[in-house]
Amino acid sequence: MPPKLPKKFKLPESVHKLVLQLRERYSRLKLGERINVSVPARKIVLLPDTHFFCRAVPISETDKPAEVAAQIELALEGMSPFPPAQMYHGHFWKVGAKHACVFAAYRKRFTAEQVESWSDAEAVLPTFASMLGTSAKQPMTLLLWSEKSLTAVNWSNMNDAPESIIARDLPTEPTEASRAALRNAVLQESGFVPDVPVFASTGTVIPDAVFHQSGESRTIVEPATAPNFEQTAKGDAFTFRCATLSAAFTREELDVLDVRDKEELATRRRARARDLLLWRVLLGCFAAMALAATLNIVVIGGTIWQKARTTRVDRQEPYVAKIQTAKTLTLRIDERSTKRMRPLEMISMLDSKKPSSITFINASVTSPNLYTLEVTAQTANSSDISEFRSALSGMPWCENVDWKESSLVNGLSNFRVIVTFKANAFKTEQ
Amino acid sequence: MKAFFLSRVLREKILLLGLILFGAGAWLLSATHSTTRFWQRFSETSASLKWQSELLAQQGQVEAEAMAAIKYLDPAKTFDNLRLQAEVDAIARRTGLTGVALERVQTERSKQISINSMPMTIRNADWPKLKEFYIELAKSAPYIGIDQFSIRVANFKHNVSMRISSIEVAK
Repeated sequence: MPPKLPKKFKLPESVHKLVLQLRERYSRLKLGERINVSVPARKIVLLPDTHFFCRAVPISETDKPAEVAAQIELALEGMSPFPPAQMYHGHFWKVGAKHACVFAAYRKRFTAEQVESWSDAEAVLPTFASMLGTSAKQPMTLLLWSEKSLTAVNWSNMNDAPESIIARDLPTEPTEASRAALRNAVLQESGFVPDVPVFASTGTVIPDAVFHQSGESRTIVEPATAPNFEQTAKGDAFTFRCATLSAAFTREELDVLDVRDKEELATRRRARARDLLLWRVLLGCFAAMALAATLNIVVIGGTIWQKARTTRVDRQEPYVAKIQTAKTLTLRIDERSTKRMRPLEMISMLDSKKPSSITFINASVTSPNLYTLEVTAQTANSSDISEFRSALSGMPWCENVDWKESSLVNGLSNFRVIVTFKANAFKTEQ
Repeated sequence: MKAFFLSRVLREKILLLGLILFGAGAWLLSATHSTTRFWQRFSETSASLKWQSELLAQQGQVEAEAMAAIKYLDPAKTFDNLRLQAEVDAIARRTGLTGVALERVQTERSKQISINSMPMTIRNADWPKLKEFYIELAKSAPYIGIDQFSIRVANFKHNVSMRISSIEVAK
C-alpha cells in the first residue's frame, strides 16, 4: 500500500480527471495509432441545395471584395425574413462582375450534430456553389442531380454570377416519371420551352421532353454525377469536379463561399495566417539546416585539402628556415660592416652636456636600435634637469630626445631620458 | 510536408517547430563555429605558404647577398665560438678587468656564415679600465661586436651586462 500523500500534494480534481481521461483514451490505442503521422484528407462539406435560397444582387463593377461583402449583408437583411445572424450565408462574385450570387439558409435547418461536424472542415458550402467557378465559356443551364433534389444553375453570361439558381426536392420515393417531371418543371422555370430540339449537352439527358429556349441561346449541361471535391489537387487550390466540368477556387474565394459564421471564419483565417507564419519559420529552419550541412561538407572537403597544404608547409619548413637564417645573418653582417653599437661614446657625449649635479644611474642600448641610448639619472637640483634638457635640444648630433617620467624621492629627482643619436654623430669620434 | 505540418494541432506544430528550431540553431551554430576555426587555420596556412614561397623564390638572391656581405671579410680573422670566448677573455685580462663572467656561446648558422653570441657581465669595474676594454674590443670590429649593452653605476663602480657576438665565415 503506497503511503498517502498529504492533501497539498494532490492534483486538483479537474486536472486529475483530465489525466484519467487521457490515460484511458491513449491506453486503448496502439502505438501506431497514438503517433499519427498521416496527413488527413482535406474535408469539404457540401450541403443540400434545397436548404438555401439564392438571389442575384447587383454590384458595381468597380467595387472591391470588402465593399461587396458589406453590400451582400445589407441585401440579405432586406430580402430575408431572418436577420443575417440567424442564417448561414455565403456569396459568389467575380471581380468586375455586375452581379453577386448570394445564398443563405436558416440556421435551424441544420442540427447541432451537423454543425459540430463542420469544425474540422476546410469549407462548408451548398453543393451548387462548388460549381459556380466553372471554367465553361458558353452560357448554360447546369442541372445538378442529387439523391433528393435537382438544382438548375442558370448563366446568361459566364463572366457574371448566375442569374438564377432553382433547387427543388424530389419526392420521398422518386420514380423515373417523377424525376422527369421535376426536370421539366425546373427547366421551364429556368426559361426553357418544351417540344423543341435541345442543344448539345454533356452527361446523361433524360429524354422525356425536349426544350428550346425562348430568348438567347443557352446550353443545358446535365452531368451524370454530383459535384465532388478533388483531393488530389496540388498546391493551395481547391478543385471540384462534376463529370467533365471542373471549378477551381483559391483559399480566399472558398472563404467567401463558406456559409459558416463569419466571425468563426475570421478566427480560422487568423489561425491560418499564424500557421503559415509557423510554416515559414519551419522552412527557415530547414534552410538553416541546409546551410549548416553545406558548411559541414565544405569543412570536411576543405580539411582534406588543408591537410595536404599543411604537409607542404611542414616539408618546406627546414628549407625556409635555412633561407631565413641566412637572410637574418646577412642583414646583421651588412649592418655590422657599416655601423656598430657605440654605448660608451654615447654616454660620453651626454656626460659632456649634463650639469655636474646630475648623475647617471644606468644606461642601456639594445639592438637593432644601435644609436638609441636609454639613461636613468638623478639630481639633487631639479632645475638642472631643465638645463640639461635645453642643452640636449640644441645638439646637432641629437636626432630625438624623449623625456620619460620623473619622480622626487628624499630630495632627489629621478628621471629617464631616451636619446636617439644621428647616424653621422660618431664620425668625429672615429 | 506542408500539408502534414499544417494538419497538426497547434501544440504539435509548436513542439515540432521548437525541436527543429533548436536542432537547426544548434547545428548552424556548431557548423559556423567549425567553419570559422577551419577558415582561421586555412588563412594561417595560406599566409605561411605565401611567406614560404616568397622566401623560396628569394633563395638565390639571399645566397648572393650573403656572399656579397662576406666578400670583404677575411675568413682567417673571423671567430668561432671557442675563439670568441678566448679572445674576449684575453682582452679582459690584458686591460686588467676583474669580475668578468663569460657565459655559454650560442651559434646561429647558415650555409656560408655563422654568428656566435655570448652574454658577458663585468662587476665593480673602474671607468678607465672599462673604457680600455671597450676600446680594445672595438679594434676587433667588425669581426666582434656588441649586440646589447647595459651599465649600472653604484659607488663609482660599474656593473656592465652585454651580449658580444662574432662573425664566423666558413673557410
